[in-house]
Amino acid sequence: MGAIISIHSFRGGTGKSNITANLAYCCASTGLRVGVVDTDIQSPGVHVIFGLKESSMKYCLNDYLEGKCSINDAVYDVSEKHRLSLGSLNLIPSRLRAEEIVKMLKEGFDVPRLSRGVSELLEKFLLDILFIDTHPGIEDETLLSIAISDTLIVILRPDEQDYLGTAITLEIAKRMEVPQIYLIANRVPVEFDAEQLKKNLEETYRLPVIGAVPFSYGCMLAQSREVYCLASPEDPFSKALKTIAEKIVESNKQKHDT
Amino acid sequence: MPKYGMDSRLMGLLISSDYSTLPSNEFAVTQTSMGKRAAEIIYKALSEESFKVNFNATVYEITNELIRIAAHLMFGSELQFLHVKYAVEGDLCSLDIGIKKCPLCEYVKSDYSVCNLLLGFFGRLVELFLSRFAEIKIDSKEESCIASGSDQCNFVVKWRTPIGLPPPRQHEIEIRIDDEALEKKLREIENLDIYKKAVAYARQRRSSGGP
Repeated sequence: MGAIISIHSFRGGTGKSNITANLAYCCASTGLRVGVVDTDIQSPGVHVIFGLKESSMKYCLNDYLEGKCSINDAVYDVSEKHRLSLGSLNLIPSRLRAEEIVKMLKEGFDVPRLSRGVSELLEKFLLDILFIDTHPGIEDETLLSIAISDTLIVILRPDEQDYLGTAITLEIAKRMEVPQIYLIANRVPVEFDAEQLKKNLEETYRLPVIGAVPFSYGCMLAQSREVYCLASPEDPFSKALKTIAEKIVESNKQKHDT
Repeated sequence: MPKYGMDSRLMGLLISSDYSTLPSNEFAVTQTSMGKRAAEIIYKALSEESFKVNFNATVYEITNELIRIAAHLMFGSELQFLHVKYAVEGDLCSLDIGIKKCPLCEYVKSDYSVCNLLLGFFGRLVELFLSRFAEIKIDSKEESCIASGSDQCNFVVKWRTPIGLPPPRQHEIEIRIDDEALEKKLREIENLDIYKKAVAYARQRRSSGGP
């Protein structure tokens, strides 16, 4: 059975979706079968990074959760588009529709249905890793994503505004007994000592930091129009993401071996 | 052939020829001087034509960008960077530049570092850029070279912040969490129905060993 990895941040604007898309691509480029589910129904965006137009999405996660289609109907293979010759990359996007969001917020997520959908994806597509891009904060979809995760990766910026919320998220994940919890510091200014930052974060949260991703102007200029690790593999951002992906793949392999 | 710049393999052959015919100190001086001159030509072209300085960016970001662009224009895409790192210690600033595939010393085997051309090039570029703001004295050194058995060519360019200017700020990283606020927020979340459901579901899932 493949691993479910949720990527979360307490605050918006941490670069969570960008990191999810790039990590998924980096893992898939090592030959793994990778899926990405966008459960951020309130502000979906991963499909933009993967270059999937809303007009080409007949069904998406919203439709599946409402029982309008099977989970397989909402899967879009973006492997070829991203020049993956070995691994595969499948995306289950969400769609921004005001009435659907209101309904979802009012009625809540269908927990068993989301969980069933995730199981089906892992089995049908023989996925090695399924990434879940969550909505920031602590809301229904966040709690459920954490609940079904084998690994939770919490993204934060080295910013005073992020520290308390990150502590809340991590505490909740511990209570939900998520087997592996990691932190990624994103948008780290080059003037910061990345190793010192990692050390400070690990001492504060008592959890491993699997990467400090440097702030990248190039990545900002790309405007989420592409998977940056594919477009600019030599950029420090891309190199940091590749290293993190290698750690995830290795950890997943070890788990699989045991 | 690279899209831009000279054919760096040809440059490598010329360097190899100079290395075998010139005394070592003369080789170093000539190559460094050529590197500096190349930097001046490229810098002039960049500053007159297209190199715009974004004053919101840090010195590191600008010099990093400048070094990569100028090197690409001069030596083409065969010269591949491993890293350009910036460090500050008191008023001493340094740039550590790593090259993983150096076409300039490809044809040379030596007991000492031979990429004086790149050394002069990087040092002069930094000097030209920083001299826009203040008079700066650059000290540069090739610390390791592929020609002498290292796995990368590594250059360090150092300079001191001039007197009169404040030293670059050391960025302290302090992470503080308000424990009281954390407890309060957690208590609020614990009372949510969805939290209770999610915790129960998570525990059930973990004990059953599957999604």
